[in-house]
Amino acid sequence: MAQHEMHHHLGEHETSIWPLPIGVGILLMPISITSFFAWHQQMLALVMGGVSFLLIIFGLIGWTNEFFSKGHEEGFGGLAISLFIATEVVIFGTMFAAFWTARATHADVWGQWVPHMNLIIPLILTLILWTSSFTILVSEKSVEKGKRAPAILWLLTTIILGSCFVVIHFNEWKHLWHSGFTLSSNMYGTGFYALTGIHTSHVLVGLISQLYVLWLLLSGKMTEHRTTMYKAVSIYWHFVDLMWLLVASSAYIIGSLV
Amino acid sequence: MVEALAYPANLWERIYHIWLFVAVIIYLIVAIPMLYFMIRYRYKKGKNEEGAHIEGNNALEITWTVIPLLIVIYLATQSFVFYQKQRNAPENAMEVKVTGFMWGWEVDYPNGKKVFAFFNPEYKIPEEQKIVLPAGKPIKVLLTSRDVIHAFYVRPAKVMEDAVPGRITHLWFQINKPGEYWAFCREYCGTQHSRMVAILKVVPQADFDKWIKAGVAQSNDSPKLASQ
Amino acid sequence: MAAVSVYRPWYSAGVKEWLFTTDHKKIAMFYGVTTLLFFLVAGIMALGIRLELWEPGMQFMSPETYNYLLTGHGAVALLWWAIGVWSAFANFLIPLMIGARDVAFPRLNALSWWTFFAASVLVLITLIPSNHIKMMWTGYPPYSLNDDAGVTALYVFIIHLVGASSIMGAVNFITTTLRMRAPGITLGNMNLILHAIMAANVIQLLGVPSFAGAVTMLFLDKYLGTNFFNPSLGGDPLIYENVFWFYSHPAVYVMVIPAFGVFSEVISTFSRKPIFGQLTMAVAIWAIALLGFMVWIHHMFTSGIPDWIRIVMSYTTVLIGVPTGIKIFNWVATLYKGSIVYKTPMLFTLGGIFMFLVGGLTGIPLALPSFDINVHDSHFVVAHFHYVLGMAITLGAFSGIYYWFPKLTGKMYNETLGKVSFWTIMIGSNVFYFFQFIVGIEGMPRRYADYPPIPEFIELHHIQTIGSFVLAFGILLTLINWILSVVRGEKATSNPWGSSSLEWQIPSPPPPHNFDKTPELPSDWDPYAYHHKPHW
Ligand code: HEA
Ligand code: HEA
Ligand code: CUA
Ligand SMILES: [Cu+2]
Repeated sequence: MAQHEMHHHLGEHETSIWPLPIGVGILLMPISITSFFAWHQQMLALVMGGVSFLLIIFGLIGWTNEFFSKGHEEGFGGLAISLFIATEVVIFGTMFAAFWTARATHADVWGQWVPHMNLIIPLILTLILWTSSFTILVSEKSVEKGKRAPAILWLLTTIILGSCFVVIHFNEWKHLWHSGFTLSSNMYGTGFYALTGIHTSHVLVGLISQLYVLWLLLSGKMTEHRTTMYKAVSIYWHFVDLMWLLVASSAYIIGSLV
Repeated sequence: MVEALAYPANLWERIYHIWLFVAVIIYLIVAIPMLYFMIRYRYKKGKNEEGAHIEGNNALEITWTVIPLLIVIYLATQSFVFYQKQRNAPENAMEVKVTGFMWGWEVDYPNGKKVFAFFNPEYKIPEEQKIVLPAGKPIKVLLTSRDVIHAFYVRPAKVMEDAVPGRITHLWFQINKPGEYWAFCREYCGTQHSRMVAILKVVPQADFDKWIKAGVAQSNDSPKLASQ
Repeated sequence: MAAVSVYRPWYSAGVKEWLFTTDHKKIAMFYGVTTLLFFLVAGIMALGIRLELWEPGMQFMSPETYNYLLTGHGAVALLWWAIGVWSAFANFLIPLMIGARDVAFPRLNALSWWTFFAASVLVLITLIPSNHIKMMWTGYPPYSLNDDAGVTALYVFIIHLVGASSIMGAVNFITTTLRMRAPGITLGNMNLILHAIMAANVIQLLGVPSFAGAVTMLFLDKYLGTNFFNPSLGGDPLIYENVFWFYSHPAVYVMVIPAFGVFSEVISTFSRKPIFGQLTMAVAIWAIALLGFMVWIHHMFTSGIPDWIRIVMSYTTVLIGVPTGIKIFNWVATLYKGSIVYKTPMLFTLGGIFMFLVGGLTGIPLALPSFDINVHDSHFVVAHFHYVLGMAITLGAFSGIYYWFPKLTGKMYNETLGKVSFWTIMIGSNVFYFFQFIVGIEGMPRRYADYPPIPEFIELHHIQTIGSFVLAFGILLTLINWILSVVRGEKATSNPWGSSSLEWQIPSPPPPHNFDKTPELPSDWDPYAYHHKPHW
């Protein structure tokens, strides 16, 4: 394979136009946020942010189209995504470190910080995510077997479940926030919203990638011969669901039981 | 033996000399053979054109794994022994509270007397801002900060500790010879960090007792006013 | 007409091909040039610092400017030079040394570069006075949340972007090294520098997110009113220090381990001998990488953390001396019964090892709390890490650039100019950094824009500043050497050092596709075997 590749590219200069626009998007994003928070230039922030968003989205779409039209399957996706997940684990780790330190060193006052929480909601959320972990697995297997229809159906269910999770979670936040429990009330508020917020942002990333795979399946770009990307997406989703266990048990149980 | 200028500086001097000795020896053990090989085995046309094929030698490699291991464990343990003394103040120590702020020090003496030592661009510290201390008496400093992290470094005693908001940290020292000594802020704290110095005015016990009784000198002037 | 295009050198390409390239060699070039430019920036900032420290009082700048220069110097020198330059090496060498056409994810590689570029632009933005950042490269809160520290957001995003770039790079390089080695190349017999680069990237993968998390908390605290570092509502500034050093100590090995890799390649080639104890060398690399994650408290010996933690981590820290020592001793043993040729890369490597020895041996006392209690945040620490960073790593990187210069450009560098440069650098930096130790022991605090008129301070600072300009001049010579050689150096052969390593078996400069076909190597293949004798 590798051999074939080399002859194939004999003497050509390899190029792809997609990384550059994404890179520019990546540059504009922080500038936009900085101009909003630090330079207080809302207008500039808005424009920059918009441009950056578009660049990144179009860049990604073009990128993967190119991948499916020109590129070819090396099957490195599994390893790569696992390495990336290792990174993600550490990111969560930092937040856990902050949360747990505060919990341990301020056990005395912590009690006064805990608002009224209804532990049924995290339970429901957990069930939702776990089912979705199962459904995406079924879908992935069907793709590998080349069964397109069931794959699409199961993936759809996964996406719907994921969306439910996000919606319910948002309401939960709204409720708590209005009850006066905010990011800045105290270290429990900070830790609670930080942990659950970061986790939800990962859920969103997961959902977007799933929508993308869905489109690949519908447009028939993804066949049983090219499933690495799907494998990556579903590994990531399993990771998000597992992480939820730790997040929920810290943010809700350890946090609110005094 | 003559009394050291300050404690626990004497312990630092000892760990310093121990390390210096070890380090120089190790340096020579590495540098001398290295230089010798570099000269002895340099390329010589006709004479020394190819390197010998040597893959390695386990016995040697084990030696230079084990010996350094023992050395470093010794060093860490030696430091551990000294460190306990460097950290734990003697019982009879006088407790002084030192609070850092941007940019200066507030010093609270046991009897409620306060001294404010403000940052000073010329390093010319006015008399009333000098931190007066008794000679030959151990002093335990309880540190904290009002804003950002600072660090209190007592130059003659060779000790320091950070002053962290929301925490009380500690260090101790004893200066045996009357005189004026520097104390620096040793944790970066902004524009005037380098001017956040103080002078420790060490006086004989008798004079100190007089000074501390002599009215609670400037406890009532606030940092704001004076820092302008 | 493939046959013709085969020997077009990799850099012969139009603007469009450069902008949109996914070729690891061009991306290596992007990294290399950028990191060198930023090295100049950091260096010139440093010279400003040296001038200001010439004597007490502010002669050339305000404390604010000094603090900005120091923040910039530290951050750029570390993230752009000491870490960034190895991305150039990794990109150029990995595929060539394992006989691959490119890295595992060429597009991701390009994106990683453009992200790095984005971060560089953010750094340039901070040059605007109103956007100066003055929280030092460590960015400790609560100070970094204080308006006196400048635009916190820029600091945060600079870290986020270089971090993102490093992580993309790490994923790419690790996957490439693990999955794309040509048949016959095993983890056992592959070049040591590949182990070094892989270890460094594993550290990046597990460390960078920790730094990213820390600065994210900074951002939230500063702009969204969270309480991570606010003691009055349950936060704690020391959380930042812990999370920060959990990355930033291992980070120093991200910088130095690849330099060890270069030392190994060069010392073996120019003494015409296999590396002494090649396997042990690889194991030592990984031992250092692993231990590196268990020692971070040694940066916090005076931070108010409980004493027992300080003691534990002082033990774990000194332990790192052992695997590092193994490497030093094995290099020395590699010289034994060699046929040593003193080309410029070899000089830089030997110099680098000597200087690392000094830097390392002065790291040990810092690891002893009873010693550190006096020199923490003094110029003694600064001297320690300039011996390892400013010298071991810089000399290592220069050695590597000289060594692969013919392969990269197809031109030969100028030998005499290289050697003159080397000796100037050695003299300058030893004068400079050695007296930095002394002034540190005298008690000179670091990050002091100005200092009290203490006589010994003044003299020692005079000497250092002189040394630093000699050093700068030496570096200037090397830069001139490279530029002149690229323009009109004599043509280089494909294998000027007579090495068996794969990258030397293809033309200099390599064709765009590297190898005509994947090399098939015998099971006893050894990159450190020296059959074909070069005629020095
Ligand atoms: C790889 C890392 C690296 C490197 C290579 C260097 C290189 C140098 N550093 Fe370093 N330095 C750090 C990393 C590094 N530093 C870090 C991390 C800190 C801590 C920051 C902090 O406290 O937060 C620090 C802090 C630091 C201080 C402490 C200041 C203080 O605490 O108050 C000083 C002071 O002397 C200093 C000086 C220098 C000098 C003179 C060089 C020289 O080696 C530079 C030589 C290079 C050049 C000069 C550029 C190339 C040459 C030319 C372009 C020639 C033309 C120019 C002229 C001749 C004018 N540095
Ligand atoms: C490439 C960079 C690099 C490297 C390799 C090292 C290597 C080491 N460093 Fe250093 N260090 C820095 C970069 C680096 N450091 C920086 C940038 C800072 C300051 C950060 C900041 O605050 O801005 C710092 C600060 C720093 C501190 C904190 C000081 C303080 O702030 O108070 C400490 C404390 O333990 C330390 C220790 C060590 C040790 C034990 C090693 C060991 O790895 C050294 C091991 C090597 C040897 C020991 C020599 C070879 C061994 C032998 C010949 C065997 C025999 C030896 C013995 C038996 C001892 N370093
Ligand atoms: Cu206060 Cu530095
Ligand atoms: Cu360290």
